[in-house]
Amino acid sequence: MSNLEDMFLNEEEDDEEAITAKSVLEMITDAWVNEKLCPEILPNKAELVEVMMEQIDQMEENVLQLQKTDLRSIIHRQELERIRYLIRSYLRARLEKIEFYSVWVFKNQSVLSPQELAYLKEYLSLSVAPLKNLCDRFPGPAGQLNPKQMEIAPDLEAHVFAKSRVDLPDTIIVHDGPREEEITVTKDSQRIVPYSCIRQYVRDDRIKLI
Amino acid sequence: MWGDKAIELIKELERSSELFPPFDDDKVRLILEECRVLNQFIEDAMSSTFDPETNNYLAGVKARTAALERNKRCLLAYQWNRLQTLKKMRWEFGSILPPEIKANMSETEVQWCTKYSKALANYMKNIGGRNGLNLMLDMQPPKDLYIEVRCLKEYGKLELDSGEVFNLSENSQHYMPRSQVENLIRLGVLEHINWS
Amino acid sequence: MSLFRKRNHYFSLTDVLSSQERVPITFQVAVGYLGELDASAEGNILAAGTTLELPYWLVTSLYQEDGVGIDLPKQYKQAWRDILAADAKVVNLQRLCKYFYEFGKLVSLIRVRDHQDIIDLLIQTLVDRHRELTNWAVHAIKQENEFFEKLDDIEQELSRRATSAELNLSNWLQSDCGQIRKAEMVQAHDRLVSSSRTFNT
Repeated sequence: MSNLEDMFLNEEEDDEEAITAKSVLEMITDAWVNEKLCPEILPNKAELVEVMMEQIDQMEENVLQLQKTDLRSIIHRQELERIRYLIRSYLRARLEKIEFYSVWVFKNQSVLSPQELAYLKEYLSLSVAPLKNLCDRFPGPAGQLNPKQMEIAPDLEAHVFAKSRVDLPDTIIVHDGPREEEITVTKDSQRIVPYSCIRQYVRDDRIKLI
Repeated sequence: MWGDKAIELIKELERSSELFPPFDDDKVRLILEECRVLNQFIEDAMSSTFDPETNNYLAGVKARTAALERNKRCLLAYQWNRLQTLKKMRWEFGSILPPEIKANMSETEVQWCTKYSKALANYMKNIGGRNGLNLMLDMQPPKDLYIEVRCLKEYGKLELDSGEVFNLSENSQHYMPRSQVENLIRLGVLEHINWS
Repeated sequence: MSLFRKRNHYFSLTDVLSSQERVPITFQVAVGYLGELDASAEGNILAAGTTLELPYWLVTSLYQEDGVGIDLPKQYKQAWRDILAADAKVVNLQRLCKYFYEFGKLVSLIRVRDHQDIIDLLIQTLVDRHRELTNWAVHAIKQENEFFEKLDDIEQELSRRATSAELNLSNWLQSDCGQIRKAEMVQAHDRLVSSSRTFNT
């Protein structure tokens, strides 16, 4: 993302700031790809998003200083649109999972940002209401909503394509039906595995999905 | 047979050529009526004296309990799946749904839509800095800053963030910022002319 | 967007519909209060020796009772296993059983001794049909054709996904990815409205 770096170098003449902006964008891009490919909702990156949004506001002001026809202005504005798309798409992917797996996510709510948690609570209460209305018209003991039944859990056994960022200290056990295989994971190695085998490493960013 | 009406309700939803078929309250009522009969049997049986020879109601109760659960599952699945469709429509049509679709919604569903819109609006207001972040935009990865569009129906004036005003009359063509017309293209007011 | 979505759950239409498929069940002894299940029964007693085909969800509530036995639905019996083993590709699964794989999984749960055989059958059938399926999905853009009509429900979903991935890829190759289109449902709605208008005039 040299444009981004360029944008900051031009305006701020500050290397450290530029590196930060670039690495933040890289982290958000990775988070976005992971979220798109992961069967469950991953720990939130609200802080990164917040930092990036502040940067965008800043960049926007910087761009306004430039002539509209200035080539740099066009390139920077395109860059801004791409970043905004990335953030929107990332938050939408999370929202879709929050809604679909609402009851399950509620039980595993530590991964949500405060705003997402507030949304989930609102979504749950509004979505249960129509179902409860129907149940209330039911005779006898069957007329009760069973939260266990309503809970849709993500399929953690789904296969994913994974790539390791690091040499993992411990081997992982890959189970495929009755067979089990012990694997030593080295940096940059790739493999298709059931998500559950690498879940903890995806969640702490040591393995990414591709 | 028990559960037949309930499965008809589900098939109606699955096979409908309509985007959002009318809420079939008549059938829902019939299913609930069947449930009352099933439940009555169970209550009567439980309060009668069990006798393995002359009054063995165990299988009868088990089957009817299963039928009750089945009817309940079908009813809830019917409503749940309709809500999923409404949700999708909120993202595609925006907050104003076409009258043909609105006409097919139950009272509960109308209320649900309002609440869903409100919940989304609350969330979007609270993310992404000062002004919130509208997640309904950028549904596709952006390519060009400006794009060429043709107006498919009379729309009237559109004022851009820059203050520039466009008159969107039928068949007129314009060169406009992508970010500000994407929504109108998705709604079918404008058409994106792509030269590539 | 919805690649992660789970297909099987309480509200799933597929699950509700596949558990409606029928299983042969035999009552070796007379059972009271179940006469409703058999149109030819006299009164509310199901006579000894009655064989019925009942929906799976109902069978699960009765099959463990004394004197009640269940049989495999025909599509998982030896005769069909042989046909599928000979050439799975030519079988019209849609007609044989629209939910062949998913109903098969359900049946394997209540026929413990056939469990492994059924699972093997399902896997082998999908493996045998898989090549044709991908091949078709990659080359066909239009879905209304003979081949598609012969697929089981889950196969149809797989090929729909493959076709749309293929379409996205070819759009991308033609650098058409920046094209913004009418939203899917808006398009479907406009089509319905305009066709009903043509119809009325």
